[in-house]
Amino acid sequence: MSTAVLTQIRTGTLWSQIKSNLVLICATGFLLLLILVPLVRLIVNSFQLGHPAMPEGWTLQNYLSAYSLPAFYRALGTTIVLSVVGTVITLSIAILFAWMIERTDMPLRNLAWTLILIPMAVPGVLFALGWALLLSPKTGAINLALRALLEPIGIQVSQGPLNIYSLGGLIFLDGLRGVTTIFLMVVGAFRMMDPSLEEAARVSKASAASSFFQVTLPVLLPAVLTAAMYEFVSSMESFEAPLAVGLPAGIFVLSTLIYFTVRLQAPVDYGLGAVFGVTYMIMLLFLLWGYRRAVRHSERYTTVTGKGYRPRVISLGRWRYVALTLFVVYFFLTVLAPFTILLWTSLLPSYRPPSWAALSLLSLNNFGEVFSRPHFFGVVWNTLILMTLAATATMLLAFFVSWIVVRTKIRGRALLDGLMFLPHSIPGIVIALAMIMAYLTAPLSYLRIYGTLWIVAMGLIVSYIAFGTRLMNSSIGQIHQELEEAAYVCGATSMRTLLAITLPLLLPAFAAGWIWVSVHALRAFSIPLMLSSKKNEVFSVLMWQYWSDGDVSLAATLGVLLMMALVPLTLVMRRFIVRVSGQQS
Amino acid sequence: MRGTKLLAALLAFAAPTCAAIAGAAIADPAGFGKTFEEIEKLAIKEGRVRMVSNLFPEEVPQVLKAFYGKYPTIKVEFTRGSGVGYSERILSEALAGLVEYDLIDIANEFYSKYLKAQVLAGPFEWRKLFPGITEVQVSSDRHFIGIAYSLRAIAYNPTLVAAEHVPRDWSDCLNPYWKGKLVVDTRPNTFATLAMVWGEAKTLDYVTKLRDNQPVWKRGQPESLVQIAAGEYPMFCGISYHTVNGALRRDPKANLALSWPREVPVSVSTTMTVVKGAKNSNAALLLAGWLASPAGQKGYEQIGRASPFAAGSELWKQLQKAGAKTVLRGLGESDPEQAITKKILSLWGFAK
Repeated sequence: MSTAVLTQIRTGTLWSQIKSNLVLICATGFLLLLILVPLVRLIVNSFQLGHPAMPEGWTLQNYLSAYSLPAFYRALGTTIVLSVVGTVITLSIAILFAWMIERTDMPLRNLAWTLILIPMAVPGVLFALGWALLLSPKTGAINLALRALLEPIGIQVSQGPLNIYSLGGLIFLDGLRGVTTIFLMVVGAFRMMDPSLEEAARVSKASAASSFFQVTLPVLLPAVLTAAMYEFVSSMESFEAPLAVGLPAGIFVLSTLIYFTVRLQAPVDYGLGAVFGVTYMIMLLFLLWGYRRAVRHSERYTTVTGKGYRPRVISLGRWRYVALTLFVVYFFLTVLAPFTILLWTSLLPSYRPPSWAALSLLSLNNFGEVFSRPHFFGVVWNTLILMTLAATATMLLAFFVSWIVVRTKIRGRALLDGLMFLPHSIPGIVIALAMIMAYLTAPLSYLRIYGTLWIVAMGLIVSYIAFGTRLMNSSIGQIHQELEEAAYVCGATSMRTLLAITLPLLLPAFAAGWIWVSVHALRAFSIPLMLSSKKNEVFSVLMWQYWSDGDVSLAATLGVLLMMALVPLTLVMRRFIVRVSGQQS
Repeated sequence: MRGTKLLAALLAFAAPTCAAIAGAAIADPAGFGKTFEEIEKLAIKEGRVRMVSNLFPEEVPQVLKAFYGKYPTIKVEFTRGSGVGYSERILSEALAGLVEYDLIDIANEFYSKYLKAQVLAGPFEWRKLFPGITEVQVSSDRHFIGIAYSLRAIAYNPTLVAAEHVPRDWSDCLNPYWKGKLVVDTRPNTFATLAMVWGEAKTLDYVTKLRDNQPVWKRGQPESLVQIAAGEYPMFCGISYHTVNGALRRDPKANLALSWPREVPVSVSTTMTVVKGAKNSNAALLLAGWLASPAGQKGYEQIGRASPFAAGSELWKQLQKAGAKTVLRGLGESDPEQAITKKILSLWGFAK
């Protein structure tokens, strides 16, 4: 212990500092415990045999088995192919739309800005289930329509022509899923870039296309690269589509291989699952490191200048309607088509492809059936509690930690910041597996929260804390320190200053983050599924249970209800995002 | 001297405390009745039982109708749950001290794990307490009781499978005509049971050829059956009769048909066991014993899950008509089954 610290202890200043920062210290300690202990437990379990709560000794066999399993390498290869191709597709679509909506005269741009957020309201699992019904090779509604169109021109096929149960199908789903998030990541850069560069291209008689590819895109490259890295990591983690569409086709990615090993296949093997989890995590940590390096010197590429005018709107001429059509097709693929087939299925006793004959079977019986199931309202209640709990706790913890990182000079705060960003590189399925292992074994088993809603909430907090701290870091940075200093001068403690000055000023950002987390908690799937028990079942898990029990119509009914709840929430979120971005700019 | 006194005092305090803790762990806090009458009396007093089983929700009233007739004051809170996922989940919950169910139905692969974890009540003298229960229904350790039977067969979509291609035996699943088309469950219970008559060499040869026929691997039979009925796949090799029966009951117009192969694997399924620390332990024991007894089996007969050996029953007639021979795996035969299961999974290229 250093002399300075000893002196502080003697004079009582250290204790008084601890006392006045107790909430901050507790919040940080809690987060460290929440993130680090399960990860350490996961690593420990990868060297153990048997059930985590009844280990049967130490071994390297799990690693030997995992790395000699052809299925592991197949899953790894599929994960990488899916992520690379999926990222390219997502980026291409998102950048195109960001450019069309922000920089061109495409009709209905404001409406498109709102509509592009709606896919966020479609949970990944629901999106995959919808497309499983649309593009099943034989009975998929779109395949039936395509075959009906091909037949008059002499092309007769007994199935397809499209097949969602394939790697191509998975890439299609993955490519469309992330567009909204990437759009939100790059749209700001498109809006605020220095227009003089494009003006120069125009003066040099460059066409709109060559101006886009030779000037706009290179200028925005840092933002695009950051988004690409983010999307690649997200694709590596994807679970819902690989579960709903990949697994039935025997196509494994790393996340479904873990799920299969610890939940579906008998005998269940936690040790092997832990090895897959650790390997998966290490790979993503490397990617995270690459991501951090990519964004480290982003200020070098500043394109937003102090000049007080907005970039010129580019006229697309007759292509403006082509642009609108492209957007409509995207909206159809991501929202309308899956929602329509789910609605259709929800009105049938069991799934039948759309036909005139099936029309006579339509009824609202499934809605009545869902509401009459004894545990339905319990599940709704759990879902609401989880949303509120996860969102509030994540944002409060993120606020405290970000304040420490941005405002204090405490040694190790950069490490703390890095640690908060770490869960971004840990897939939900691995977080859940690590939580199972940690909360089934001492010392955390004494908390007796396994199987309760608390453990699911904690899993979601870990999963979303990276987002929360990023948002809070930038928002706290916007508020000048002198406002807080004024409070200190008046004798306020750090805690009082935080709650009375900083937090109210941050309220719009806090609210935007709160809604973002609650929307994601409502649609969360992998963590609630892995950690589910009778006590903590939520909407998305119940929906999956119906689906895997063969009650496709009931699953579709729940899906329709879920989307009806999520769409308004997403639109409310948009209002807050606009407000926050307005405030920050 | 002072140290010795302190140590003695500590020991004097610790010994009875440890004994009390150990005693509490051995004794069951709820306490089971020693005779059927006592169990019945205590069960009525408890008044409810929380059961998890693989019954479909619409089957529950049929199965429990007679039980409610006899014990109208005992309320059964039913949760549907089955298979590996549920068995693993309940085991983990029990290990974490969470007892959400009194009576549970667990997959055969988990018997030894549950016993090792010491999360079960019992053992019980099932056959003495509940006359009429057959030997094959009781596990050798007397913790588990078989309530229903599972018969494995081949399901197909009659609109996709022409009469000349309707499968008649397991060997038809190896026909190259079905290459890449037929569905097979990655949980190989069907073939592990068949190994009892086929022997290991023939079984492993068969499953290798089946793998080479490039089946569509599936986990989750009800979900896969929906796809068969919808016309996505023509055939499922080794599906549970109960699943097909349930799907046809829910939607009688579903495009599904069943073919009995010459050797039908039969296993005692819906293996119930009472959880240690269950709130309603006597009611759970009473319900399990009653369901396994001839009175309870009548309810299972209505849903096609009672013993296929009961002469004159619907299932018995079906098997007789098809000329099918049954291969029965009793509750005491889970260890050899687990061994062959691992070998099959290894051949199929799945983890362990």
